[in-house]
Amino acid sequence: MSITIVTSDNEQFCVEKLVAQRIALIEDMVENAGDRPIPLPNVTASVLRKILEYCEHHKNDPLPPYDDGSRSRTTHISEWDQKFITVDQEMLFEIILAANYLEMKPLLYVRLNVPRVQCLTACNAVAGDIGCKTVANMIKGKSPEEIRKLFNIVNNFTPEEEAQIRKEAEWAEDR
Amino acid sequence: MSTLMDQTDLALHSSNPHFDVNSNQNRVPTETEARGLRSLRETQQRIVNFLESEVTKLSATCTSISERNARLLLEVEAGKSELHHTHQLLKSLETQRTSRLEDIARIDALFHPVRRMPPELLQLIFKECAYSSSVPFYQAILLALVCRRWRAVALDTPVLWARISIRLKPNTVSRWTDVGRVLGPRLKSAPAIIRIHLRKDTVAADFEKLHLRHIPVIKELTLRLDDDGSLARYIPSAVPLPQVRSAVLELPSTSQLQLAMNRVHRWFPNVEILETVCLQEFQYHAHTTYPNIRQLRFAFSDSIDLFDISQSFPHLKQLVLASVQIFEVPIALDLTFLEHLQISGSTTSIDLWIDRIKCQSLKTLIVLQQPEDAVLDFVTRHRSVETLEVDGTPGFLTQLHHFLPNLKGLYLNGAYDELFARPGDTEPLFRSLEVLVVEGEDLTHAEFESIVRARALPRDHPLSLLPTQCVPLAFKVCILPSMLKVMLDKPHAWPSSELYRTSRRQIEDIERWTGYVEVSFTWE
Repeated sequence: MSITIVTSDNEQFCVEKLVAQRIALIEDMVENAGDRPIPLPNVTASVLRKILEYCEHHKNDPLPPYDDGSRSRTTHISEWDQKFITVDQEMLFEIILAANYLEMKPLLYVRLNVPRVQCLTACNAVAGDIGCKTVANMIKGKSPEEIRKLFNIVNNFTPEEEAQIRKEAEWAEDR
Repeated sequence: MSTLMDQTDLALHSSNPHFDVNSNQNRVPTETEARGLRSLRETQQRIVNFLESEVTKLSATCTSISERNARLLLEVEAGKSELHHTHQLLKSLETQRTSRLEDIARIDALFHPVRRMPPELLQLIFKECAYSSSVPFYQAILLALVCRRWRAVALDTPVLWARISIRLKPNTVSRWTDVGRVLGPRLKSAPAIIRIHLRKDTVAADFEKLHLRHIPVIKELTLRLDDDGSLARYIPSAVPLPQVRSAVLELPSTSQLQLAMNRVHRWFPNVEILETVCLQEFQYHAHTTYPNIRQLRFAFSDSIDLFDISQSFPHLKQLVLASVQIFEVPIALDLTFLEHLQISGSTTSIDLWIDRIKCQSLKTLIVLQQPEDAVLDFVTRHRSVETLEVDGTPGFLTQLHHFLPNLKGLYLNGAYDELFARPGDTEPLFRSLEVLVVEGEDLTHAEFESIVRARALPRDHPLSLLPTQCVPLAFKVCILPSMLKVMLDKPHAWPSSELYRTSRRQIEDIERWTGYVEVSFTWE
């Protein structure tokens, strides 16, 4: 059995139900939609194509464990997932945004076990998500200026604000 | 032309060898000489005529060249001017191009998907950055310096700021002034873990400048001292920090510090956990009680007086003595509320405690580097123990389930080979245990199978259902002193997602009842 999904740029995708069920939002909509196509006004065809590639690969995985919000632990990114997420920066963010919209937590992040606050540094071994972790890896070790360049972010602090937060920058120097 | 001139020269000098026109002779030339001279004159005249015509022509040519050069010079000047103008135009166009490219970049930046990231997603990314950073606090600072929006999100993520590390030196103390006042609002009610390295040359006034009283909840405050002098030198007694729940004092190994509980109480009136490393002496008074204290942990300390401990710390639940010289133990020590007792290290002997201590609620007992007989004696007197950690594989291990009917968790430090040497002897123990932890190495496949068989695990138990090819890869029990790490990978190998979820909950239960052991999970 398959269902039809329509993207924001009006492209139609005929998707196997088992694959589409990996997308929580669609799973909820399928029941009400009947045979009608399911519109995804916030996802373009190119992004949905990637999302479906992920769903197809993981279609036989167990569904993610119940998330009671009290725990958050990260898992290592598997080799396939690592390859999957090796896309240009724009696509990476589009996937994260789409995963958020589509309520695809495994793709966005997997909350398993919230580290106790005092164990923050001991949690390196257990990673979080695919998307957010990939972006975090891009950020780590970079200065604010390098982060701005990386993501096309404008430094919009006023000189007064800059002066005010300069002291915090000194905290970071005092390692 | 040259031929004509050559001939003239020849005529002058050789046609009439007897008469030299240049000799200034006053005599009249002879007829013959006159003919020659006339002929010479005519020749000269012809040459003059010729030269005149040439001069005229060359003069015209010079004039023409000069005029042309003048024109060219004018053109060069005009060219130079044009070049200069063009250069200016080029520069202007380049500037405009750069400006337009910057405009385009600004427009592109407006469409960059990072701008569309909702705050909750940015928070997730920030937390990821912080969790994987060795010092999350520094990573948080850098994130908050990127732009206004990122700063707002970072400032609204308390957990980013919860782990603070400060090295207080005279030359850097000014930059940490007011750190508490700044971070307090950011932390909201998140419990902070603060570590302060107090250098020899820092003083109480420096500590005061941090304004830690503005931080709402301090879950743990670690003070690492370089000096073995008085703590009062570093911490002003006028600044109590009632929000500190746990205080850790790390002193140099040569410490001569004598710590009085009254002083701790004055600094941290609500502290529940007190931990010291390398303390010379811990002083408290029998007539003063500290009802808030739930946990006392001493390591590498020279003199701990336990004589009045039950009176002074009536609600003590955890007592850790690691390589501690006990000064005095009373004849009868009633620690009614004690749930966790750890005795380890060569300077503390459990022999002292056996007949004297009464812990009616003891649930966790850790006895390391102690005589086996003494351990057995102590264990048999505390049947409430649910979790036991001992060295190696003591001889009484197979009988443990008789001595400790409530035993659920057993943690073995070091060699455990004997545990699996005679499966018949250990099967009853395995059957009664919920958690068996062996330090250092993973269980082999055969050992794992032995446990599974012994426990007669139900068909749907997560351990028994693990595909054999995943053992021990899929289920590893790695033990750290205070951490049980369970690793479950290859989730697709599980028969159903429901079983996966159930198993996860069961493993989480281990964490719940073991209490002091932290269980971490890794799903790959």
